[in-house]
Amino acid sequence: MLPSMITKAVCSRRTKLATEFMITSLDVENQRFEFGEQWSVAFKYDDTAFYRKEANRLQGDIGGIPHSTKAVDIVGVHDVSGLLLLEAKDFRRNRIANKPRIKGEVAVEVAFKVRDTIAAFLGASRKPVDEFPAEHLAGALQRGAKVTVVLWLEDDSFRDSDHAKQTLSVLNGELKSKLAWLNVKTFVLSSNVANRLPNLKVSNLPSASQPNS
Amino acid sequence: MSTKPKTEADTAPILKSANIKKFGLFTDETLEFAPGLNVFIGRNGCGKSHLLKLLYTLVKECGADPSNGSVLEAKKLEHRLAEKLAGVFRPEDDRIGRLVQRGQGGRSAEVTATFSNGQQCGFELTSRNKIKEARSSVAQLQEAAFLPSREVLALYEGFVAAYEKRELSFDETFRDICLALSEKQLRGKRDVALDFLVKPLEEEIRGKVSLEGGRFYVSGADGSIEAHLLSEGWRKLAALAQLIINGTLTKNGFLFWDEPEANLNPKMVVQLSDTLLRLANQGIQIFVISHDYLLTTRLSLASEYPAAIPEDMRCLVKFFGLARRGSDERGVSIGSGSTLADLTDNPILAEYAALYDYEGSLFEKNQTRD
Repeated sequence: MLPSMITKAVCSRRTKLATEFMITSLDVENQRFEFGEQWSVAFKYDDTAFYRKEANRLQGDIGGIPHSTKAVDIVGVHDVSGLLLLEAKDFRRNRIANKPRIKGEVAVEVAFKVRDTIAAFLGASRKPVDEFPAEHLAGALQRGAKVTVVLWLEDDSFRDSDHAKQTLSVLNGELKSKLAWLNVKTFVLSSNVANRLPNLKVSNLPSASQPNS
Repeated sequence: MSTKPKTEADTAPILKSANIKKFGLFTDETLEFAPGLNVFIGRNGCGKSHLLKLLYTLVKECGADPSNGSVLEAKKLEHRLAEKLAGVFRPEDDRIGRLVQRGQGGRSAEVTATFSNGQQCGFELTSRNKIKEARSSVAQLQEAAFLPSREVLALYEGFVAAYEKRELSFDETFRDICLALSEKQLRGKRDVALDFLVKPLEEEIRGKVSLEGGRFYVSGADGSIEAHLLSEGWRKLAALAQLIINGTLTKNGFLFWDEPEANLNPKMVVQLSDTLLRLANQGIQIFVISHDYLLTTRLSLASEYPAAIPEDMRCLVKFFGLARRGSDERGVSIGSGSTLADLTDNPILAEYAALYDYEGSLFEKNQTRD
């Protein structure tokens, strides 16, 4: 069980439904992610003060190339499936600009974000951070514990689900390969294929269908 | 502009279309071919190999007599077609009528091919094993080579002699390709076009192909190695190199290849894809059957982005997707298009999607079980 203080902090954005179930609703990249009661932790990591003010202070140029600390969008902990690191990307209406990314680059981006996020958990666990359960998250990375990395990707080309699965499959292969060192399970999902994550509802926000400005 | 005089090869016709009625699984299909590369995809048992062999039979037998240039008279053509169909398809007891689509009453198949110059050839095949109404107005055609999915370089030695004695149960495409491979390599300095086709293959197999004492060898920095000791993938590329070097594959000639990707590693598949495009660019009309995601996708990309690929690889590509009709209907349906995305039924893509679903189901179980 999580310490009550941490649970409270994590649940600060939860809404109580008539069914008495607690839902954490997080909006990222034109998608709404609704984490059900089986998720003891669910928050937008890249919105945390720790990431913005602490972890992201590690940045600078090396050989003229700027480097910074990355972060995944959402971190969750499920009763059974353990730690979830989720990155959402919406390439809809920007297909041309994102063409190189969807062919593999986006999987590499996510892998780097995962690397930096778990390094930050370790840092946060050594500091008096109370906005998310840093020690619990660092503990969730121990040997034998389940860790899942998911890229949730939307693209105009995914209207045909067979074509979507082909791209998602290739990207998952890339993601899996880049994170082989971490011993995690990876998957790439989209709204046009079956959602494989437990007790999580994902829906398009109205902004998803608005024309590009 | 080139001022080179036009040769026979420059003007020889290639296949433009074929209409196939009641032959095998084809109830009534008309296929319009690309002058470059034609790719057939589909699940096993939907008639791809039959189609390839039928087209091969047509271009192998229907061209004008090479000895005098005159078109073949009907009786001679009927005899040649009957023999070729029996040899290429190997039906039981040479009963070529078994190739006619099964059904009630007296049955016959009809096949007509139209060439790029408008000339036609065709025949009727009865369920009583007779070829009727054979006709051809087709001028002399360039060579046609049929590469089976199994590589042939290693079984080359002594194959033709054993085949003629009926000691082997291989179909006639094996004999034909062995005869084509036995043709002597063109003498003198290789011309530039030939060199740029063969060189990438020779780099891949790390040597040059030669035929000595009835055996094929690849000679390179490691010395001379007999074909039997090479990997199957290398032997396939070496066979293709030999067909180019000995002039079998020339402009307006035909290459039929059943699953060229079999036994090739992904890097060799890339080389193969580029070579097929270069051959088609040089005017060789190619027909391939493929189950390979990498090969078909690369060919599709070449078709989708012609201006972005090297000029010497540009050619017209056409994909044909063959699929069995529903259980209540006979035969197959054929869709076509210039890229894979144009096909409504793409079994390679469907298998990728199924693989994604399978991994998804395993991932999901892992998520919900302790």
